[in-house]
Amino acid sequence: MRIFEPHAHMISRVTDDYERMAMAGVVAVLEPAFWVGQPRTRVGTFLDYFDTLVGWERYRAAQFGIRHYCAIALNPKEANDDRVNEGVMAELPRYLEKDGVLAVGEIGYDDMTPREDRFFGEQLELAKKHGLPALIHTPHRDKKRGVERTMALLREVGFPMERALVDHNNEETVPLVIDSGCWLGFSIYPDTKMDEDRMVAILERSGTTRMIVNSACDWGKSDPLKVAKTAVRMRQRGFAAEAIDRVVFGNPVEFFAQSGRLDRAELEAGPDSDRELFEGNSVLRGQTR
Amino acid sequence: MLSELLALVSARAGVDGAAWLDGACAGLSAGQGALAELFPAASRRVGRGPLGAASPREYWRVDDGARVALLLAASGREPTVTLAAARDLYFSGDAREKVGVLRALPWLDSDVAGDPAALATVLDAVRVNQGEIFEAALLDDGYGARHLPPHEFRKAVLKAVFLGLPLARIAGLAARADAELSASLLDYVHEREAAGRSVPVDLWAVAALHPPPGLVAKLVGLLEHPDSRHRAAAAHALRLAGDARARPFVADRAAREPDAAVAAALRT
Ligand SMILES: [Zn+2]
Repeated sequence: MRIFEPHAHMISRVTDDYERMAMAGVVAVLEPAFWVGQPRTRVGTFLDYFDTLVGWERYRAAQFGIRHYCAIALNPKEANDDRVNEGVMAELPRYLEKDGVLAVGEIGYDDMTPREDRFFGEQLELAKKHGLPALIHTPHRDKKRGVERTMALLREVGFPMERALVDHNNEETVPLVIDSGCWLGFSIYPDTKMDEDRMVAILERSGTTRMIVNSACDWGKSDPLKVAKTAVRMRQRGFAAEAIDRVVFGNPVEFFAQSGRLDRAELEAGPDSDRELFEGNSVLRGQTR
Repeated sequence: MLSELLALVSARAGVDGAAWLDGACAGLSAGQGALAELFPAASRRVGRGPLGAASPREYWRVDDGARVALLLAASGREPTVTLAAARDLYFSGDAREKVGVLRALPWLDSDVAGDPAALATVLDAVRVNQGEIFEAALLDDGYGARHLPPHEFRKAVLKAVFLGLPLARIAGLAARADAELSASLLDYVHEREAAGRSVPVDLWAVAALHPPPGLVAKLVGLLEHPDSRHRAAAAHALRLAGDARARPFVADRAAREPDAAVAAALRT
């Protein structure tokens, strides 16, 4: 089984988690930019965070044969903070040109404030300008109205629905998002929000088209193996191998490939394979004797 | 130089990639275009395969060539401003961007003393653990081989030994090696031996340039090593050390040495 984990906050995870994920079949991880628990008071801490996503995390992941991609954005929570919001927006364009940045995200609504409206809309425009799809967070409170308002904004700015991944869905939001033409993300958590059984029931009811499962694995109680566990549950419930592969690999790859920056052949070849072949030595050759 | 690089990149980047780079460089030469947005995009525009450049740039990739070209185009107007910009691109860059900046430094800075922005960049690069960044800072015609201050240079050479990198790829190492480096290398040998581990064979030739006490005796002992690569390295290092006390042992081994190449090295 091969897994493209499409939403994992690896910065909150220890290096052993990468190893466990690799053993469970994860070949690629996409880490969207979000808040980090403690509010940031300066633009510089955002930049260090973005640099970590395109630098150090990529290196950590590569040690276990995992390719690390990311999405960059001003997240909806901190969009409300006037100490940082405009300063971060001004820095986004150069990050959105980086290799391995496959989407603008997480953007969206948290409390549905006027500031969230403004920066959500502006970042959808940025996504259009840089040719990137959008990874959209939906609020955990008042979710249904949050999703409706998201759809309305996407239509208002004329954002192509097939380039939007609307995340953290539940049973109530599924029909709405399916009808819109957007992709559907589901975050599988240990206790709260969506779990594996409910997820499989949704897949049985609504099919696997445009369905994407993630573990989120953030700072809360969460589990980086939730995608693998969902795949196991799908198999137990009789899903064919192709259907499982579509949900945990094919769909996320197809969605993020819309960035034009995801090389499928490279993905299947493993991390830094070009370097191995080209230079004949490994990044991690040290201390082998 | 810029035109030479553009030709190399064009030969491998495809029509679209070559046109993109030509346009970007022309714009930067004229003071137009955002270097901070062009620089990160280079890899997917021109590709990441081998550039096909001659030694000492045989490890360059196509995007390295493109990034150096972008910086050279920008530097035509304001060299010192571009060095500061290169440093900023380095510190906000991913691994490929960092390598691109490091490869450009020797071209951007001809000052023997070293530009402060370039030094800050290369000092960071030799501290990181990511192989390709460290290698671009120190190996081949890397800026660090020539410009790192003595202490940092010795630390970088030791790190190269730790990483198992070929020391022959550090340009000018023989000229910069000193007694302190040799002493550190011998300490490293002792640490490896205490742990029951092997020692990289290319270390001896560097340590022998300024042999610390005990080194020649170790090399004489290595003449009896079962692996001919170790014997060859010892023979070569003994010649560099030029210590008369080793001569009878070298002659003794030369008379018994079964490996023709090692025997030849012992007799020179
Ligand atoms: Zn998230």
